[in-house]
Amino acid sequence: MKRPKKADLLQGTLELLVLRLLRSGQLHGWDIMQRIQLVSGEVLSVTPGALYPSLHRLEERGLIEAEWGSSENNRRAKIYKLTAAGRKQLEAERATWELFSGAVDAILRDA
Amino acid sequence: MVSRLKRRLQTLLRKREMEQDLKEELRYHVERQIEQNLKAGMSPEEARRAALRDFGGIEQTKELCREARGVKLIEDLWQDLRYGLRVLVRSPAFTVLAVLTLALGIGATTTIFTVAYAVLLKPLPYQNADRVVYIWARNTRQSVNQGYLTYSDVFDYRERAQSFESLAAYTTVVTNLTGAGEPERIEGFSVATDFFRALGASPLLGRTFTAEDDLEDSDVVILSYGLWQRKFGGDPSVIGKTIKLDMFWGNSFRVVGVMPRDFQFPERSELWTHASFTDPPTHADTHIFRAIGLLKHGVTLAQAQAEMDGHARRLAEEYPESNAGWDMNLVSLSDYIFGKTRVALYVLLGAVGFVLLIACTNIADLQLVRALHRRREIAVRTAVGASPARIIRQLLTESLLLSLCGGAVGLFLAFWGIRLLHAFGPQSIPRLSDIGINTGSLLFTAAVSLATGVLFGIAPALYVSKADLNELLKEGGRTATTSPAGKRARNLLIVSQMALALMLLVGAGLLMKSFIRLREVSLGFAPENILTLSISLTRADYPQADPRRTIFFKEAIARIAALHGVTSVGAISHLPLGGRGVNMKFATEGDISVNAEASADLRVISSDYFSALRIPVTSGRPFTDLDTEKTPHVIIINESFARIFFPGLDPVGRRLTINGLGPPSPSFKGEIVGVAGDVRHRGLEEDARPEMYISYLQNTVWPVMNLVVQTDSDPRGFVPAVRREIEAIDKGQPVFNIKTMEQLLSDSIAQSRFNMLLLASFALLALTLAAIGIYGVMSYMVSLRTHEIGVRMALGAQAVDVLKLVVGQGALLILAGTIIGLTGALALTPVMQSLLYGVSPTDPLTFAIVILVLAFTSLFACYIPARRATKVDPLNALRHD
Repeated sequence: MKRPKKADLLQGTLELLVLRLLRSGQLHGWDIMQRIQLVSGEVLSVTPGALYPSLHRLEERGLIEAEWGSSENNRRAKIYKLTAAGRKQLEAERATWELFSGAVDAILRDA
Repeated sequence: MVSRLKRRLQTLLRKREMEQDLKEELRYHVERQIEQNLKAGMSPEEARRAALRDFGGIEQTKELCREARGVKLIEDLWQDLRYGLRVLVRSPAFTVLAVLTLALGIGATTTIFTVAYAVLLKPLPYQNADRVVYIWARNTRQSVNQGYLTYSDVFDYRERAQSFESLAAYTTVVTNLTGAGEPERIEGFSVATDFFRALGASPLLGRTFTAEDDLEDSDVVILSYGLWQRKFGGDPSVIGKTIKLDMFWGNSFRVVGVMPRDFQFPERSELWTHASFTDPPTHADTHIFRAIGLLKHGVTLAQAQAEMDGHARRLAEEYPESNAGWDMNLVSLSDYIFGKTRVALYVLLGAVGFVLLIACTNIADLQLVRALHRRREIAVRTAVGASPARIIRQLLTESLLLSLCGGAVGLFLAFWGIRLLHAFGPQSIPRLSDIGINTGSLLFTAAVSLATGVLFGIAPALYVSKADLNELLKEGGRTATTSPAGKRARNLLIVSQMALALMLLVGAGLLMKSFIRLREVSLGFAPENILTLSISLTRADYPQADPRRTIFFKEAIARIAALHGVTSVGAISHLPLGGRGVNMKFATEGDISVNAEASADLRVISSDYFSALRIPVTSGRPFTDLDTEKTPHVIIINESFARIFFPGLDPVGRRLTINGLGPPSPSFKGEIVGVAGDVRHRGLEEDARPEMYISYLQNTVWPVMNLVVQTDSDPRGFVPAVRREIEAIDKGQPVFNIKTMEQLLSDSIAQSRFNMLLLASFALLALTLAAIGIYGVMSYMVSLRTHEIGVRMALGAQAVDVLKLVVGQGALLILAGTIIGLTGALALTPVMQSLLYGVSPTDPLTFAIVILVLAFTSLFACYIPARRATKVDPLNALRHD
């Protein structure tokens, strides 16, 4: 019998989510992971093994930037925030996503 | 893009810091998770274990992060390099063969490129080089294309032409420098005021010539750096001093300047005297001046040419006597200096390019075979997750390693090649001795190495990376090697090799035939056992039109002729193969009239000149010592003269007036007493032109005479004795240009020999490489078809049938290559035209021989593996699988 599975995030989708989360404010990696689970109502899960490479890739592409700051419990943490380029990228990807998901929805509903 | 690059560089440079950051970032994550677990009520031990378990592999995550940052790419490259090196070291025979092949190709290409770069690409060392044009006098009717100008030409065109900022004429002067150590013969130029300004050349010391020199008409001179160092010890106070030069217009010259060390134009010169072009023109003078013009800014060569053509037409109307038929032909400075060398270098550059391409195809082929063998390995790597891009990268890295090794060895060969060129290259390549491997060559070698690596690496890599995994693993990688695509690729390589080799062979064949033709040219004289030397009499000691000149040469000839072993001695004003002589106008008397502009080269000779060089006197008589100032003047003409000006008539007994000869009288009237055979005076490639000879006993104009000494054994052995005899007459007269006639002959064809030898070696190299290539392909094919051949033989096929099968397949490829190569060769031959003598660029015999040579060589290369195929034991072959 198949166990109910949490949906795995595709890389591109994960990056879109990260960008969206960072638009609301600066976050460090652990926060981002928690938020994804929280906001999606535990439907979406992300592992550190997927999240951190994505963060580094986004940073490498200049969409987000990081600095070392102190976290709520006063420890050194790497905190990410959105760059101007990231903001633009988010808008573009979001539009694409909506177009795409709308199309899929339409097919699922009517076909 | 830039910021990204910066980030990537930072990543590389601050690797340790980055690693530390990464570690800390992930540790923070784990610690937060532990905290949360503790809050959820786990024991500390449990909280830690759960956190680590949830995280997954920390090291994998780190690796993925590194990859995300692009550090991975560099590490992959390093890995590829190490792997590639291991692969290359594992098959040393292949590696050595490939590196050597490439080294030969790249070395040859670099050598020729270095020479071509210096000669063709490097800007000429004159400030105004791009605006300076050289001016040839041209007379198409007299088939004079590269003639000199007259004083009147220089004067007229300089007055009229608007296209030029300045127009400056110059002419060679040969003089003896006395009063500063040993008397020395000096070669230099007498130049117009604007000469240096036109070239944009500044003096090292003092000044160049100015308009005041024109006004004062004083005797001033500018020294070359070399002469200044050698004769005046580099003393700056030489400026303003007077030196003794032996010119017909004076002998004391004030030094006004010294030119920098590297200034020379157009060839080496020791000094420059000043020539005024202020006297009104006579329109009855000889063609002795060369000229350059500095175009005004914005004026093109074509515009200037059009303007000059207009002036030429008008001048021909105004002065039909002197100017009819003449016009000026402007060429760019680089065309003037490099003209023929340039074509030769382009051809050679193309040839080495072909050799390199053939070398590339050979290695591409080897790589292809190796890649096919390695398809299993590659398939396995693909199966465990290597992307096609990664596989291509790996194979390309190997190819680049090979080509860079080849480039390094090639560079070494090029150093050696340049040394070889210095030693054996012809003097006609300008500035050859200054040429060496430079930054340009290094960059070129690097670029060529990389390009060849990609060129021969990319096809095999692409081909193999596309391999169908399942097919391969299923078939064990054997049958796949005979896949149509692989075979097509290899056939294509062979066909292109054949085509390239054929084109090179045709080029080499044509040059060889041309060279043989050149050697077969009837010189008109016998060069064997002849010593030649020049003597220049100082005018101060032997004034113009003074019998002392004649007496000196008469005594020199007599003394040398008396030496033991000397069989004959002659003297001439301008040696054969050495150049132009002096073009003189002449008029005929009596019933035959010639054009007013008729001219012929004049040479002054002694009575024994013809016998010393065994030049036949075909009718009439040679000069004798009895033809002197006191007897009637006599003239000998050559056969060309007789044919052109006295067609079908007997010239002997007719009278000529030669105009424009210097004092004592401006013209020389005489009777034609003989007709001599044509001599290739202007060089082997130029047909003989109309010529007139007069006896030195009847004209004392020439202060420079060349002695030709016929000996009964090696003429070089006679040098000390001959020198001794001349010094016995007068120690103060310089003797120079001591050479054997055979040396002169060899020098005169040095450029042709050089072109021919180089192209022939490249062609041989190409032929060898192509033969190796086809041999490799056919061997491989035989080894693949061992099984099939075994079956055929088991079914009764004879050795002959097997031979036919294998060789037949090779022959098809050879045929295809030959046809393509022929088309290419025919398309390229027009380029060769100017390098050839007496051979058509589409010479059928050369083409036929070349095709035969190529076909035989490559068929032989097929035959060896084919024979091996006939030795296949059917039983073994069938058991093979």
